[in-house]
Amino acid sequence: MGGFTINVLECKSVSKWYGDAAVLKSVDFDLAQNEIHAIVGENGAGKSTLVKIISGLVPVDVGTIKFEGSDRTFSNIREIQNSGVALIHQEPRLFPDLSVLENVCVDYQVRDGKSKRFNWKKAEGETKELLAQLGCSFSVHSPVKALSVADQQMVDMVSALRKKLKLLIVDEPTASLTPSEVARLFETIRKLNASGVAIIFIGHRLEEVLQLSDRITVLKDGEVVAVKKTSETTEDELIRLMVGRNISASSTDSKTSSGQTSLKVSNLESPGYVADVSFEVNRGEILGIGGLVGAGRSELLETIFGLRKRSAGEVISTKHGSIKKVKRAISSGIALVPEDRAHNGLFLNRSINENLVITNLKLTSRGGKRNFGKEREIGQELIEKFRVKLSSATQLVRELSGGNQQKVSLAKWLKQEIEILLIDEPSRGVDVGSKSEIHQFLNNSAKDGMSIIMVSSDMRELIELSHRIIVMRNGRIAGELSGSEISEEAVLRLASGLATAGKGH
Amino acid sequence: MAIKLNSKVTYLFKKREFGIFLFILVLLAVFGTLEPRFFRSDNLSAILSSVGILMVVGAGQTLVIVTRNIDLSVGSTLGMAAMVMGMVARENPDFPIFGLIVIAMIVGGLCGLLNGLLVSYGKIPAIIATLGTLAIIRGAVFLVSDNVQIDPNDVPQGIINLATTSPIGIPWLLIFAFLSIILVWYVSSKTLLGKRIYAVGSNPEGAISRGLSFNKITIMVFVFVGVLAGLGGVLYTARYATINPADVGRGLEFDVISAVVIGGTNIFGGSGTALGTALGCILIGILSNGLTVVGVSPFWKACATGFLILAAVAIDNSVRKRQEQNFLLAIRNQRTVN
Repeated sequence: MGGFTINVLECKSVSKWYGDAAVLKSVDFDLAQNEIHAIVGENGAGKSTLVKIISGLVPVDVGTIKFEGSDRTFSNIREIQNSGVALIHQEPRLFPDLSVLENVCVDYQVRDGKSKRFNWKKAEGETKELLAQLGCSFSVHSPVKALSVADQQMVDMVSALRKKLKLLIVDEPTASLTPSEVARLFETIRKLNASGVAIIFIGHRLEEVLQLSDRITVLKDGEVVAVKKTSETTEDELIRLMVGRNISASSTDSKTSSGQTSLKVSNLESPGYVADVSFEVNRGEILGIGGLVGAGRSELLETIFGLRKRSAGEVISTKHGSIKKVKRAISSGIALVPEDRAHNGLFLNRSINENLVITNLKLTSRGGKRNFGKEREIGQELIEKFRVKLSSATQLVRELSGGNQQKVSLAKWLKQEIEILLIDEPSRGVDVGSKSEIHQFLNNSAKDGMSIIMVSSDMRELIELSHRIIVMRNGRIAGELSGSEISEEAVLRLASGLATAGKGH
Repeated sequence: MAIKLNSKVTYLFKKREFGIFLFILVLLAVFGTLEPRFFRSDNLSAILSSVGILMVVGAGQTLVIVTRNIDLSVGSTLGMAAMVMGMVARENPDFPIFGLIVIAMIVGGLCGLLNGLLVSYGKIPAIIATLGTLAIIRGAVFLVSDNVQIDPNDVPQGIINLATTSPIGIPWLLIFAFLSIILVWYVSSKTLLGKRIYAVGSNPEGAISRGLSFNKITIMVFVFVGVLAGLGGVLYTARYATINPADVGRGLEFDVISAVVIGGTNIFGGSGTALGTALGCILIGILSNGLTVVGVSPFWKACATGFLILAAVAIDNSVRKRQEQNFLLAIRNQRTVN
């Protein structure tokens, strides 16, 4: 890339506190105009806070931010956006009821020559052109709620591009995208960068970070621990810097299961999502479910758990018989850890402890009355078991990082006998350290006899943890892989419909 | 494929309004059969007058509900505007009619501003804020009027004429109703401001992070409904010629919100159309008049309206769910094709 000459952005000793906790401690960060600068770090390291400060969503407590060479004095989001800074979140911030075009234009300033009226025709033309540049084929008139997450992200991107863009911040955009969608996104980012837009990229998948960026800043506990040129670093070094300790990237334990069936799903069907799905899972087995986003994987878990209406089929637990309703599923030792933990897995506005005991009220109450001592005891036990990082057990779950939230979402089930764990994207939005701990937990639980059905879009996770993999496509099972058949390529082939091989079904 | 998807959606939305239209025809047939007097011209013009007043206020309420808010105080606001206007007219019999209309709209706008400030800067949920102002403004009507009603001979003939005469053969009252609906239709479908109003209701957090001025838009829609309720006060006076502090606009919020919801505006914000609201107003107007004309007791009448609202929301929910499922299927097919 050559010499980085002009700095678009210079942050000097930026600090930020939330209450007593320092989230950022005197962070220095700079960004050259022709640069893609990645920020990596465990969840809770302060990456998102830093970019929120840069984009004006959160005010800075101490420190200065220089944008294009001069101190930035304004703190109003709109002014910052108008100065050419845009932030794209991991979950697109769109208006589901409005069309693509309306989403893109909604914050546009009417400065269209003399006319005070907004020129929809012109806007439509420009939006179409931008969408075409990004390789999108959907209509500008589709309502955004009808688009896939990847397409929604593209709409978010186009919304940012409509303005004169100087700095684009992309905060972990690939979590819910398929490989080809990621490739398209990266191509777009590179193109933008080549046209003079400076890029800040936050990512959890280090291979992607290494592939895309020119420089990498590593944050740990709110401090910059290293700034590396991408060409001079490796994945191992980054992990070491982020975590501060060595974690085994792969935990290939002997994959064995008992051969005793614990759950049998036959001909399960949920209209529009799941069609004619049958499989069995054994005690001590981790059954991975692969497939593209939208293939019906999450919906399958929800249907098994009884959350989603089924139109046909049966779910039979060897020990407890047929399962139809959520209550019955829970009492039969089945637990679901959903993908969208913020909405479905946790009560964000309640304390960590309350979230942990909510599934264990039978243990902590008598005659409908809560026993707070017992609650604290159980909470403490689970917190320690999972090494949840917190300031106190009465802290609101909202304030935890993604990794720690996921730990709470998982831990709440573990005080009871769980025989079958349904887990959806166990490491989505989770930092490397927590991810490795969660993996370890899943492996150990399986060894102890738990059956785990795991949906994952993280190919490495899916392949390393699963004893057997079922690949779904359009709501159906496209194939099954086990033992030496398991490979990234085989999963992808089945998921994309290139092959219908695999055993049975 | 995407274009097909889009036309499918438009079709469904159209279908919903078409459904209300059919229901209106059914009601007309039923009431007309049961009681031929229903179709007499004086009864029809009575229906049109009350529908017109509903439409003026309902047009404003639509935008408020689209932003995930609600204004329960429209009846009191209408009453306040009518009362102030009536008192000005009583003291100054020669006051120009146009001036009286402007006064009523300003009074209504001020009531709306109060609501808007409470909800935006005061951060009080609209349902509570406007429940408070519903009572406060009603109390204020008693206070300013000293509990003395405005009699028909104190109401200028020019105001009364608004309900009956016009330059083009349609009463002013209906022209105002029509213009209010057209205005809301235009703003919501043609302007950037309209899109912002829908955006705020569709995803408030998103709106803030995209730099839309959330408070400004909230205040704007409340002032707008207030101004229209003020105009509604003028039309109420034109129609009834009497302004009684206890009666004027009382319970109007119920009919207006019913009409808007039956018209398909999502009570959780983000969607709703002016045409739907107009049809909802017509439906409510016909229903309430028809039930009286055929001799249904007022108690049953209240029940019937209540049931209708619940039915409308239930149907709405199931239609929405089916739409979502259709979307998903369409997307899936799209993926398969690619």
